[in-house]
Amino acid sequence: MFAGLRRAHLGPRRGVGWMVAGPALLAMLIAGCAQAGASEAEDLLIWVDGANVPLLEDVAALFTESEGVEVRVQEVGFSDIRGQLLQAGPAGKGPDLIIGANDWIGELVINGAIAAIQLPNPDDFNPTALEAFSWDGQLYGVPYAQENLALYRNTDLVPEAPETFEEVVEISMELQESGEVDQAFMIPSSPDEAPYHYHPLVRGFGGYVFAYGEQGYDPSDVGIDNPGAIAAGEAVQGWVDSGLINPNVDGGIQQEQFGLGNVAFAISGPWALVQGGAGFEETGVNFAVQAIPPIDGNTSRPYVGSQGMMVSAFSDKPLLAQSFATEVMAGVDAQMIMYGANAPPVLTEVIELAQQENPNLAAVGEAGAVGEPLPAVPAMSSVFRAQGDAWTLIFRGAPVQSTLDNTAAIVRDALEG
Amino acid sequence: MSVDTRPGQPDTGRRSPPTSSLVNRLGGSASAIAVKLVALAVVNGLFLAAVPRMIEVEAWSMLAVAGLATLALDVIYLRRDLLPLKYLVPGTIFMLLFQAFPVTYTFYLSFTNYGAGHILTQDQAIERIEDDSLEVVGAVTYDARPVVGPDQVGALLTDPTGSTFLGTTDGLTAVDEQLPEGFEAVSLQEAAEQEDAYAQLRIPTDEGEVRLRSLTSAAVLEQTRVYDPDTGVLTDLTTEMAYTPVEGTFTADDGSTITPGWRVPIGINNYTRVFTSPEISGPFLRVFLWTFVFALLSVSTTFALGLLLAIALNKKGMRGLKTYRSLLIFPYALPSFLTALIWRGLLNESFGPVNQILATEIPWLTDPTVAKVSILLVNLWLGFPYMFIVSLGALQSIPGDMLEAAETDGATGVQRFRHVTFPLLLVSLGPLLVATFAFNFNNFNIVYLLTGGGPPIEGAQTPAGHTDILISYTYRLSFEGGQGAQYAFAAAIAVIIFMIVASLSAWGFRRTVHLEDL
Repeated sequence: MFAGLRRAHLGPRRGVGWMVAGPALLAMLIAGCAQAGASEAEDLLIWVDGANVPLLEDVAALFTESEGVEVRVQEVGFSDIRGQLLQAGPAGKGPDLIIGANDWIGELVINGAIAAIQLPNPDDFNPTALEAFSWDGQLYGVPYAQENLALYRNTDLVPEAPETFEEVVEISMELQESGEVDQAFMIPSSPDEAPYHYHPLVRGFGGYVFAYGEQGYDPSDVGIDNPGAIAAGEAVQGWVDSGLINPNVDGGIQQEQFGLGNVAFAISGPWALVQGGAGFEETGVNFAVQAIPPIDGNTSRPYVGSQGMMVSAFSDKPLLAQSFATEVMAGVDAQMIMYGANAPPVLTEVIELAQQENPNLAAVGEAGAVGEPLPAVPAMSSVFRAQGDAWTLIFRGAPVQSTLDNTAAIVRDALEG
Repeated sequence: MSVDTRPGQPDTGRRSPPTSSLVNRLGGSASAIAVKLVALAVVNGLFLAAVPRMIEVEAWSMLAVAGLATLALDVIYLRRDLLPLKYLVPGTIFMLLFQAFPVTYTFYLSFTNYGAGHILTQDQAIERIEDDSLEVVGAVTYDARPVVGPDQVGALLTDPTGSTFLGTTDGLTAVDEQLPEGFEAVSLQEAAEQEDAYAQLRIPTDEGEVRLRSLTSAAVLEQTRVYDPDTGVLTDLTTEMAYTPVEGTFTADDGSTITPGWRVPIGINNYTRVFTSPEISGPFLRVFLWTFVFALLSVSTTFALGLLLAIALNKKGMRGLKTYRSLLIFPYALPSFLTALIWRGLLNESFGPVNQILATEIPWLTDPTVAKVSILLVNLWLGFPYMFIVSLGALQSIPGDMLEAAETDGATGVQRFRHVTFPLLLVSLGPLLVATFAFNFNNFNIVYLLTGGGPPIEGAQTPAGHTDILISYTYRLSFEGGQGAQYAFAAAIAVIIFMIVASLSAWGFRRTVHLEDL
């Protein structure tokens, strides 16, 4: 060791210079590169799921053309956007705007993660979509699409549209008894899917999750265990016994079987139409779309979800972000571009276009006219979770009353925090 | 480093080229020095690159730690002495970064209220509440365009009747055709470069102060909630209610609260909740027992099958040996999250190929008991190749002369296995078995993707399923229960699970040390 130290003093000065200068230069180079990488020339950053990236890039180009604003569109998984905004935002690393679903806003608002928006043209929008994006009387998103369930019917197997749900049951049972099809009616029933897909039936019987009125949802009025909900549970249990409903059906199985022409009726949303080859419009099956028919004379109301743009409360350019949402995203040009997302549009002009160009998609949208907004209550994931378990138990023959009593207790508990 | 083994040799002094004196000074071959210098330069560069950012967010302690660490690395690797440190430091740094820091941070989080409704700092929460409380006064809203003046920014405002005004801090001035001298309209991009100035623009009018809501719209806005930093009280001006901070939430005397809240330490509340809340402790014991059984059976079944196959395929000169071995490793080569999903489809009661081929209607994933068997079978399928590989390796490392000696002594095949092969195997495989147990104890993927924890337990006060293990159960509790992600609560449970797994593993490793004495 001493030898090494001694040699250091004896070495030529040039060597020392290089030893210090070389690494230092390289260090500065790296520091420089990192700096250059960190400060990209962008005014706004949007997080959007993969499928919508090309659409948002076109929308962003509108803003660049008119105002010279550079908007960067960054891909983030749909299911990650909400959570990552909540984590990255407070640390100052989040986006200025996000694309997401209306049922996120409750959680995002109580966490202070998104800012309210004032639309210049609210009357041009489907009111249900705007209501879906409202919380406590304020609007928190600019919608561009809506999503709701409808009844898909194989027109080769069932030429005439049924007018009541009782007819659906009757026709299905006849088809099954005659041996024409194995499973005439399909509804996705996995624990993740059942609460959303069975909701229209439950509403037809008079059950509900939260009471819905003029003021929107009232989370203090839980109807998961009311007489209507119990009647629905018992009816479903009867249909499982009679073979109308097979609880082992999930969305994937339904999509495949209906596309093959093996199913007479399917409950599904706009996503069933085009699905990269597996969509009903792509497999060549002959079908028609209609609203889920009324049960026992009562309207079957599906949830109407909505997709749209939200402004992050952590944006360091909140005024510019607001302008992008209200001027660009809410405008006809952007809404026309977003029509490419294959979901029913929500702006009047685009809805009219869809009615001419894409009647099936427009029909799904029209089926949502009797619907109610998908609740944005932050406890919604707890609600769906508990309901998913309840349906699984009901399918397997558990007593409906006690099962739903327990579910309602879990939900009331979750609402308290 | 190999060149530097000549401490006794005379110094070569000035005759040597500069590189060789560098070699002497730093130790090692020229290429080794180059690698070392480049690596150090990268470290220094990364530090320098991070400095402006750390100054920007005022992370002084982080800056100090990172600076000292970088300096220490430079000193340690540029000097010829300190040899032990050269070996110890990289490992220590990685351990601190990837083990000690996350554990400490989780531990810290578990004593806070970080989670749904409490993700902001207090300053952020106050800013949010005040901004959200802006209310439009009067019916007039203006279309706006940003304008730059001689010494201030302004906005060109158009009211619903089409009249146009220039709005500045001096008030409104009617504009006919042209902007007044010195004022100039700018694009939104230019305006956004000094957004703060526009955000702070207050235009006094008869109805109140007009503010920009975006760069393109404005209205008379009034703030209805005000925070007083001196008293720490937030007042709602419309209701005259006063809110004081209680555990990270502004709370009024009547118990009403304002969202969002902010994160604060709350002591051991998260832990007491785990142990005292009947909803949580109800299914907890049941889930805990199944976690134990699941981990234990997963290890023993995979080990048994892997070892059996390893013994069968340890015969030298067997035909197609390599093909068999490759085929058996196959399940290991596929990502488990994909195969778990595929198994979920295969085991569907009505539409799954398994029941269709067997012509049965076995409720693989929907019956409580059968689902437990299914999950163990799928885990066996996923896990045995690993055990097969390690067992095969261990078998081949057992010295042949020991087995020969046993054979000479007249031991049968079974006796040789029981008294020679198996004990020797356990010496080398014991730690792996313990590690596999710890892994399966927290095997979230298989449970979440195959059964989702289901089928549900009837009448459970909190959603829990028959195949839920601790980690999947607490995931549901923390992220799918209540009003959203409860990170701090999840951290508390993670700490508890960490304690359980750490003590079980410690016990297990100690046992494997005893095996070596055999």
